Amino acid sequence: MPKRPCAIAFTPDHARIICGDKFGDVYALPLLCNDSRKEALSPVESDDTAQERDTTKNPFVPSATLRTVHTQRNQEALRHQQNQKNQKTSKHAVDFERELLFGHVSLLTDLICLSIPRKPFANTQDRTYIISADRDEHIRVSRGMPQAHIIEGYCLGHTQFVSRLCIPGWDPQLLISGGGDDYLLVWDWLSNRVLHKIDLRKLTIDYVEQQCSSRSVQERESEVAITDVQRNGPIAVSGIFALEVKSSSGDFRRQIAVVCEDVPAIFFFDACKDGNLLHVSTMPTDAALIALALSSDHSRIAYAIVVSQGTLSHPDLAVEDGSSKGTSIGILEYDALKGSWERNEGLVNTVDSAAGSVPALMDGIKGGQAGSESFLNSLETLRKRGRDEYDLV
Amino acid sequence: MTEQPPPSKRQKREDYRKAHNSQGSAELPKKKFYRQRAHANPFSDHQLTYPASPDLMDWASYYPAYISPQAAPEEPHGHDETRTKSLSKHVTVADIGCGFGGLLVALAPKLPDELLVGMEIRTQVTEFVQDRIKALRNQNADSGLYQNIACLRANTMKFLPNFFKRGQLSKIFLCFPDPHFKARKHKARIVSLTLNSEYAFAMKPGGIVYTITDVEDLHKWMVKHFEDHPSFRRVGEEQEAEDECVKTMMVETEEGKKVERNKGEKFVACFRRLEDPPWP
Repeated sequence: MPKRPCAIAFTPDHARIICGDKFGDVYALPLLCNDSRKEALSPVESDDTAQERDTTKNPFVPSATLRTVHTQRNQEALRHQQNQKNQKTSKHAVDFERELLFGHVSLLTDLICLSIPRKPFANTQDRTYIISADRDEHIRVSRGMPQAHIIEGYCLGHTQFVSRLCIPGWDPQLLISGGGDDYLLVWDWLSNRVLHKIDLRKLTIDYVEQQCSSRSVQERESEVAITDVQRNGPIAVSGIFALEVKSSSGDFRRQIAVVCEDVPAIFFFDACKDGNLLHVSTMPTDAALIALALSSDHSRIAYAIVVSQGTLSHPDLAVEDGSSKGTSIGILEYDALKGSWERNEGLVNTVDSAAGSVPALMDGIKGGQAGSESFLNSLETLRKRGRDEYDLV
Repeated sequence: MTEQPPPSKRQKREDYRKAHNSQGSAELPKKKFYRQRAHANPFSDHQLTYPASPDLMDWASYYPAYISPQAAPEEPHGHDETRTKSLSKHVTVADIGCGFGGLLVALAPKLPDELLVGMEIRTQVTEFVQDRIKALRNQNADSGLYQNIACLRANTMKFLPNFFKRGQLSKIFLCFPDPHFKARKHKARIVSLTLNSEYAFAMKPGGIVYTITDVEDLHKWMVKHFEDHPSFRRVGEEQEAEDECVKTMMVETEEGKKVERNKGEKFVACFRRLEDPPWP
């Protein structure tokens, strides 16, 4: 890929990968690579490779002339260039097929590709859309392939970078987005309207305050895991997950689980029919989460945390080899009778003994507190300097 | 970033600006007090201000003559919603990279029924154009000319959708854009396949993008990228020749005049925004 990819999604027919990079370009790649290497790339190809092929055939000729360059110094520089011997840059052309679909001029943070069935009375195909979010607070809705160059609309409302998008399976016309500002926004993305704003930052601050005050004096005197930043600072949403769990009455309970970077908790919301999200519970975890996964029936959640010396950790989760960091896994199971999520320690032990090399994952990321922390808490680096609140122009 | 001029020059600049602003004068600003480095990196964050969405854009401060008379106070919580004063018409012409404002000033009397906006990323240059428009408005207070143009500081490569709704613009001008000769700088060019989709979004079908440059390589690049983009088709030469805006674009921009003086060639290309095809 020409630049570091930042976001990835599958097309609904699973034939292609849609990938967004740090420059903001979105490419479509075939999922299964063809063996025959294609020299002839499609005309929608990015231009660096075209440029390279040109330079290898023709020596570099500056496209400026003495009539387009006006000042004395620039004209002299141009004369130098014209007299210069040709220097070739060698870049390897890519040998797999990729098609540039569209781009934001901004780091891509998340991508969703989905199909919406049309109104029942129209006997036509489903419409595919690609929804993309970037660091400059834009959420863009484009048509899917092959018309990805057509922008259908923008959902504009965030005042800081957008980091995560989520479309709940039960209502694909809703979009839940979160990022570096205080709110989770629920959108009717087809008409680009905000339906609800949920103050996520207030929830995290309240939770952190609660944790601090409920700890014993002894524990508070030892190194405090909850930093000042967590107490007062901004949040960055690192995960939004839609869950449908079977409740005791047999019908489905729809929830959204939200994880914020560097906050040791999972927030659960009930999803109402009108799209509103009501906070129902907060599951404390021993440290900030780095990953979360759902079982296929959504009855179990597994999450990974990084346990360090400073973290107030559960005594059972003691770090083994004396290193300053280790990973740990937690598993939650939905208790249909109680209607809440509970920890399942038994499963954790099974997993830990089966996959004994889990702490080894962290060995590679040991080098110094600062280094590993910025690796794990990368979303906060997306924040732009000097933009605390947006200004009306 | 602007280079720091030596203190005495800066002092002169500040004094000039203060004097100029306080009088509300009708004296045209002098370029020497607004000089700035020609290149600004469009990818950096630049402390820009921009509206969170086109509905929240306060156009009224730019076109005070077009503020629509206040609607009846129906909304009980009017102050909550930051109801910016609305204009009686929308901005429909954008000069992207308007420089020192030559094109805007020339087009203002020729498109009296449209609102034109110039967008420029360099601070000093934007201020120059704003002061120039203010002075022109003061000079022409009787005839009410130049009320329909304004200039604002913006990075259109990133934030065009924040200013304009879908299909809002009927004309976009890209005059003498920075050629960014080096291959590694090509991504900073104002025309590319990815940016063309954004221009297409902001323009109504039938609208026209006008481009002009004196660098043939850039002209070929722009033609290729617009022609390759399915939402645009090149306008034929006869239509180009008939269009008043093309003639204005060729002679009225500061850069165009510089090219004339140096006896350079100008390459013009115009593209019509097509209707979106139906869904497959």
